[in-house]
Amino acid sequence: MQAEALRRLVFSGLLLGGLLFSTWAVLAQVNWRGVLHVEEGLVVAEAQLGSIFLNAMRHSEKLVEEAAVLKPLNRLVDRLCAENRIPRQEIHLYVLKNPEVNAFAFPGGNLVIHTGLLERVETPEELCGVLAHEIAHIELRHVRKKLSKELGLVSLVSMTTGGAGSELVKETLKVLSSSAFDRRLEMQADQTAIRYLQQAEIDPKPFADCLQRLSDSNQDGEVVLKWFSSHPDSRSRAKAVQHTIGSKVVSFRSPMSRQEWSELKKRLKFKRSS
Amino acid sequence: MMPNVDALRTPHEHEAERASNSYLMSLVALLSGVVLPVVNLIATLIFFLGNRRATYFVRWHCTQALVSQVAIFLLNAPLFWWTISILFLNASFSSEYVAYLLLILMLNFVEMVSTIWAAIQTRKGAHVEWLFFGELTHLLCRPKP
Repeated sequence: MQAEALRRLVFSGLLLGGLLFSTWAVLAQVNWRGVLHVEEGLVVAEAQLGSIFLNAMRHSEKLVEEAAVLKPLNRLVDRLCAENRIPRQEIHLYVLKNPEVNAFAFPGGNLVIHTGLLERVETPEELCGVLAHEIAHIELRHVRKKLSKELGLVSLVSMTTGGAGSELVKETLKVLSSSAFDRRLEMQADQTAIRYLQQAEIDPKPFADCLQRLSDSNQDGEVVLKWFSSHPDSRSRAKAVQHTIGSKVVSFRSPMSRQEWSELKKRLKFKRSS
Repeated sequence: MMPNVDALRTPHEHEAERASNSYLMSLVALLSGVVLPVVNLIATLIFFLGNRRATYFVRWHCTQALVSQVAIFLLNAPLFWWTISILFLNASFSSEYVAYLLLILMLNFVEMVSTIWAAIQTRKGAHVEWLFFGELTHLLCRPKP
């Protein structure tokens, strides 16, 4: 009797368990993210967040709006996007008057570069490397991943619905501008940046040299090199970038003429003193 | 045929009412507007503990109600934590998550309908056995010697 009861129990248990599991397995075959338009929703939310952060930045920082500075930089971004089939309207470049050597991306395809970094880089190729790296973070959706990891979906939703205070927005902007992504995402962005540069026929080697040079300076205790100090292990990144570039001999075209570059540098020096 | 089923076939009026109430306990949370399924489980458990010395019919149905609530709770709990990890940690909103969410919603709906039906039938004095939970209850709940 007991054995019979146990047998019936096991059989009905397996039947019920099998039914539940197979129902779940069948339902899981559906692309629910597509059905529920999750990607579209995330894009809209990201654009909203971008606007919120941009407004906060405009209030708290000084934006450089001079055409003599923005035009040549935007031409560099134009070239990187055009050669890599990145829709140009997805990337918005802003320059902040700030002596910190820093550049960062925030939601909505926004890319910020400090005048400190523009003054520090020595060649247009180095600058293109930094721009390509940040564009890679945007295109690979690292910014969204970082935000959801640092803040969680609830805080992000409250920001997009206007439920978050200005303090949360400021703090979030600080997080985005001052801390790097995790090592795996940084390496991914570096690899992608090299691809972007090579595709645009821009020599990626100066970018690797720049990483090496400025991480060496950083070792000497310069604290203003935020872009390099916040990115983990710049020296090994430089080595990885150099390894990826390899010894391929490819023809490159300079992204900016010497005259344009020295004009840009002059404008930045002028801006610093004004 | 299980020998102790005969003892379940002819309950008295008061037994039928109490047995029916054991199923109604699991609907307490729904009726009070509270969403956490653990409240259902606690309510059913309290009713079960309060009827340990009742007749076999009442005990049997309290046990079936309780074991089914335990199963529902064990299935709901992973969904709760999965949702928390998506909202507050970095878990991905995947198709597997949505599939599990839909499964649990369907399961809870079926459970609610079954519970209401069992409550009505038991109140009339009928004996209701659920797939798997009925067999389990027979093993766990014996008539008093």
